[in-house]
Amino acid sequence: MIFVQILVNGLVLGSLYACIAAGFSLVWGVLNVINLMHGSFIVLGAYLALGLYLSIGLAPWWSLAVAAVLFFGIGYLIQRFLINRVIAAPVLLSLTLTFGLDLIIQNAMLYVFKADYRSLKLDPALGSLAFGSVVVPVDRLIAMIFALLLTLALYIVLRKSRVGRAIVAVRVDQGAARLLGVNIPSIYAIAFGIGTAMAASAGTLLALTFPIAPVASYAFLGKAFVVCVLGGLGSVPGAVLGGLLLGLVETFGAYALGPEFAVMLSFGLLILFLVVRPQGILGRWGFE
Amino acid sequence: MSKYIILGVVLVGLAAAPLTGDTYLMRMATLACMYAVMAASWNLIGGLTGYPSFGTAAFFGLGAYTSGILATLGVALPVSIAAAGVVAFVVAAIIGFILLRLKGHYFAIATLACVELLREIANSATDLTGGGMGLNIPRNADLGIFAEASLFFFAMWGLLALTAVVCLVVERSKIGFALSCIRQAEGAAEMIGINSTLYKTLAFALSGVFVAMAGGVYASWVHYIEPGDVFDILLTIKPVVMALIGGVGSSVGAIVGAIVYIAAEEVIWRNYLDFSSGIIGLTVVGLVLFLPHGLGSLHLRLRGKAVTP
Amino acid sequence: MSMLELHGVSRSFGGLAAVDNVTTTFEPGRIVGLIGPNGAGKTTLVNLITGVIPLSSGKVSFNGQSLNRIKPYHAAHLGMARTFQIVQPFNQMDVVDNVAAALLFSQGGHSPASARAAALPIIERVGLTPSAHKSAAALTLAMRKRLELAKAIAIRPKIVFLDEVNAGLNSAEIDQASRLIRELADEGITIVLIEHLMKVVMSICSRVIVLQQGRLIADGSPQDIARDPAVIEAYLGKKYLDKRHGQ
Repeated sequence: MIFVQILVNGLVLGSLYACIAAGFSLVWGVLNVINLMHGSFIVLGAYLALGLYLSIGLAPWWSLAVAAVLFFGIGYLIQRFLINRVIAAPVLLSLTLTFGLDLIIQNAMLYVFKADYRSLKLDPALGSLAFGSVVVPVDRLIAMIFALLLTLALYIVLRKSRVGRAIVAVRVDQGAARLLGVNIPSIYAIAFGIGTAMAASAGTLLALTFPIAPVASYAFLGKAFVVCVLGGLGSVPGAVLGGLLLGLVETFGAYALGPEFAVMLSFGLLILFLVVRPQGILGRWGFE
Repeated sequence: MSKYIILGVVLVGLAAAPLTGDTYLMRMATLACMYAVMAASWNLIGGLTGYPSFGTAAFFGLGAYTSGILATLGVALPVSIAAAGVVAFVVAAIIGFILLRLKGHYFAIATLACVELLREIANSATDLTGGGMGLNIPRNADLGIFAEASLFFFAMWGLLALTAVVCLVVERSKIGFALSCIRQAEGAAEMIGINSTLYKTLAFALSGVFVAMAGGVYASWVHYIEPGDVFDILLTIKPVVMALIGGVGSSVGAIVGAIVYIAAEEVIWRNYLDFSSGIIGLTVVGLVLFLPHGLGSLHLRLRGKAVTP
Repeated sequence: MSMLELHGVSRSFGGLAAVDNVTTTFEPGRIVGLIGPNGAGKTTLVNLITGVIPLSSGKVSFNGQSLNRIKPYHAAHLGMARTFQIVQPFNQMDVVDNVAAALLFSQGGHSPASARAAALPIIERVGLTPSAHKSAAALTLAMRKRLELAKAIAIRPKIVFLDEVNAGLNSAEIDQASRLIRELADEGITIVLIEHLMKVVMSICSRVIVLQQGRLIADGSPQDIARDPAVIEAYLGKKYLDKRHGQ
């Protein structure tokens, strides 16, 4: 039975990882930008959920909508006015730019929220569901369901909407997309906005399950890296597959080897995949 | 020729620090030398070869622990630091051989993952490293504060001089020529007879050696290291920013960039403690957007020429 | 003995055969045209011979030595040179350094300085002397093609694969290139010319081999090839052939 419990824990964790990584993967895959601010946007989303819950009692899964709209705008503006300027330059410059921007956000977060960890405790607590000896906390279950819904929503937007198809077209063949009249800088900004919105929305859900502090951003960023490489870049199914895989590897690894090995395991896996199968499980190459 | 003059002025200027008798100033000068070693080393792989390595902290920590553990076993400082260099060369050659087939973002992430992996190993190999409790490194002898500060300053300064000479020799040599070809068109470089795997691996291994030695000196200098400290991601990022300040591709530029960065960071720290990292972030953003080729391109900007990233 | 021998050379990408069971030989000092419709596998074949991509099956040997597990830099050391269809100069270097690099790394005994000196006559030979100190990025397409040729010559090759060196050139430039190619062949260098311009193939090649869908479908003198029904079909389609026979 312990096996099933670990499996369930792994899937819950994995769904959140998938949601964290989906936006990051989109930005990397479409824009060829590794957004080092991604972790900070997640944390900001979590603080937003915390703030809205403490001030007006809004539950985190409703804050999600607020975060999505607000951070889409923020991401759009950052891409439009800052990152678009170095998008054609070598990888090093866009990477350094997002690092510099992240330093600013981190500093602002430390100043406003202080360095200590805080958690969002729902009142009254939602308790747990028990299936035989397998126990699942309800708040985690809700977070998992919303994370999967959010990821599914992204998938549908990319597949069905005009903007989504334009984003996919830019990813597949930029030259052809331009010839078809797609406004590339605008599509970049929208894609980055979506990536940012996904990060912050995921953050509102993470507030339910993880303690939040400005420095937590780096751990989330690290997960996004690993998931993207495991699943393959720029595809939502890849992010889901990579996320679930990482969640399972971490929970089973922690059980078998001890929790201190979970991080080592995930980065070991990352390097292994980069060397053996850098295109990820689903075989999608990103930009180099 | 001008870069040799700049390097000479910088080295002589730094060497004047002990003359002031000011331990604070010497501490800053030692730190500047340390980062200059790291920035110039990064330039070998990131600038000259065009592979954006984010593995600097991995070699710094590896060197710090190698040298630190040897020091606790009673090995003398010069030997332990040399050992750190040798270990880093071997480890970097192995890592480089495996990872240098990746390019761009993939390479950047793989090297970043090496930092995380080594940190976690240092955290869990408690018997050897003391794990998260850290490692105390015994003092060689009781020298007195100023003498000890001078010792470590000159160790770092000497290391910088060595690094600078090696980097300049490499840049001018056949190796530098090959690395430059690889950066510009790797397929074409292979086709004219360049064994790109060999040269890239060599560049990566060399870029690890001096960083590890700097880590070794650092460990003895501060007497105490822990995984989060010597495998800090900032140790990976700062040298990149320093090289950007100096203009990517030039080792002397990277050294000057390191000194400018350390001086600016200190001024900002002293005056705006609460906002220091934000101001550094603003500086980085400004640099990338307006001076992507480093401070050296400032005169182009001022003359109104376009400077595209 | 032939200089370069291919035996059953094959390569598939994801189940699709790009080069399929090619067997042929190349003799010293001849100009061989390698032609075929787009996507016939010409460039892939060159990539297989020079070690850019590994063989799926088959054997390549060069002067009796097996090349099956060769790397491109090793091919250069053995005396195989190639130019790229999409030119790949070292853009941040000048013409002299581009050619000097090829001299320096393809054979021993050079320092960067001596390689730069030895590069000058080769640059003269391809007619780039006036631009010797221009950066490669500043050259016109025709000049960059000549630079590719200069780099190939600098390797002191025994065999040179020229991948569409004439594409995008005007007729005077093509004549110039053809003259140089003939000179090289007269010096005993084997030239393999991947070429779309039939006029060039007909005028300078002594032998032509034709690839279609990865398979070698014809091999012979330019005149024979021009009359070969299989080749005509490959280029112009079956309909054209039927029509002609019907007349």
